[in-house]
Amino acid sequence: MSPKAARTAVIKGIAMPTNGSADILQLSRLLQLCSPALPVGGFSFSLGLEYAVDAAWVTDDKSCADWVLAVMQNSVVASDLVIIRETIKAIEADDKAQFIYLNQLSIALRESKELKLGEVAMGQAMLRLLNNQPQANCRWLEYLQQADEASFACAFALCAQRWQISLNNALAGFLWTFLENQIAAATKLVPLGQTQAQNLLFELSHQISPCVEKSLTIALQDAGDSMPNQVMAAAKHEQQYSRLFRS
Amino acid sequence: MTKNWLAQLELSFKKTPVGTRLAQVKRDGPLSVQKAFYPEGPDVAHVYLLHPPAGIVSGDKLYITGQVEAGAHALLTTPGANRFYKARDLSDDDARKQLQHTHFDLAKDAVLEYLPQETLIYPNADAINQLTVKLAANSIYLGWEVLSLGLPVVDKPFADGRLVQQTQVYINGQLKLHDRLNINPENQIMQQLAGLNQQPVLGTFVIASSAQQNDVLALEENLCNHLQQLELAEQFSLTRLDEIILVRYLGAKTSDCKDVFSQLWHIARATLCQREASAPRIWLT
Repeated sequence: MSPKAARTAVIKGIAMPTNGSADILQLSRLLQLCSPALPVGGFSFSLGLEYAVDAAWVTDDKSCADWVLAVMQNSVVASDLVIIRETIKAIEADDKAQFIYLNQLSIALRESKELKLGEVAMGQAMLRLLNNQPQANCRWLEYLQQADEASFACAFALCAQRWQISLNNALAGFLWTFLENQIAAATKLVPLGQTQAQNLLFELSHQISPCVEKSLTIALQDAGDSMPNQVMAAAKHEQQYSRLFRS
Repeated sequence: MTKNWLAQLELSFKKTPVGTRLAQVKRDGPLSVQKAFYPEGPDVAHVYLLHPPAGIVSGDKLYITGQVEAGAHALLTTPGANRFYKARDLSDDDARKQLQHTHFDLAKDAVLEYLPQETLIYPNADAINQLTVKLAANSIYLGWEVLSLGLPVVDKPFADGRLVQQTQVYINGQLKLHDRLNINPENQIMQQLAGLNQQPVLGTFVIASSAQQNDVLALEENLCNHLQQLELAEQFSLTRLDEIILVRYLGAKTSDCKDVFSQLWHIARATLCQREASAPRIWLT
């Protein structure tokens, strides 16, 4: 593949390793960033799904797919993905004020105590991890460390930028992680069988590419797209009697 | 052709030796207020926001600004429902959209209560309803917004309408809450279970205090206990984001939402302002 064709492949968001060792390193970094083994605790937050199951709104693989997809297509696309894109842009434009504002906005977009807890606890864990990474340890990391709280989406964006992961791949990776965590939670909660869960992931991941494209059309000033019933479920989860998850 | 309004209303409340005064009113267009009145003594100025056209049509832009100066205490309400009517079928965004932007600035030790009646968003409306609240140190904001989508009373759903409802709260210059709802026919949020689950009424009650953190914690517990005892408990949720308590309603009836918000307002007022609440008389007429 010519260098130009290789670049086109990356721009189009096809996560295909080309023949350069740099590309392979980028892919490895992306896989590591999105791995459930990354010690940030993403698997411990259900983002309202635990309440939705308890309230018998989500009862099987079909209703689970509807719930997860609706949250992904709207609030994850219009908040997390927009924040990640704009944070990468701010770093590349060397815009410290914008970077700090985006971290604040990203946290202000979390509409319940536990949704916010998830965002900043995972953000904090990510900062600890990056602290020991010479390639990620830069003044942008310091700005996040100096803030009262650090948003996971901003820390994720910082990693993507430092490791030169393409924007499309970073956004797709974020969505994949979201889906994997949600389906893992559903596997325990609904519950779903292992094969059922994998089939759901096969099905839902078809939506990743359209979601990435949709996010690219959303301006920063239009970030948000809150899902009222999900947000209320997350708030009610605080009072739920028996809980496996932290949100 | 209908006349489009670019309406502005700027209110400023000041604390004086004889209590809170509506010190300045600047107006342009059909928005207005009557004189402030004082049903609970001179410390709290009650003001009714009046919008004689009673609704917002395509091309209208309404800007309401309230400045509550240091130590002043104001209560704003409305005599009737606000309405975003059906939008005109125009391709030009600016001509088609209906905008209301409300902006409140609370200085040190100020209190603002913003308790409007419900906002009706008609089927086929194209509404943008924005609220920005900025709190300085030691100030308190109690404000709700009750949205009714479509015309549920006559069973008309909000099928082809568009609404952007945005609430931002800043405390000491820091953005603490950015809540943006975006309903349109393409994203199906109205129908989705995680969205509005086909419920036409959505209420949000924001209680923010940059004053005593302990008061906010105690209030959270009191409000939570009150909500849990209600028959309608399932339709409400409550959470706290540091200095901000957020109560939400998702259901079928504006009256259910307003009744419970009003009960919570009594509790919040007693805890945060050490004042007994009594429903503004205009709500009863």
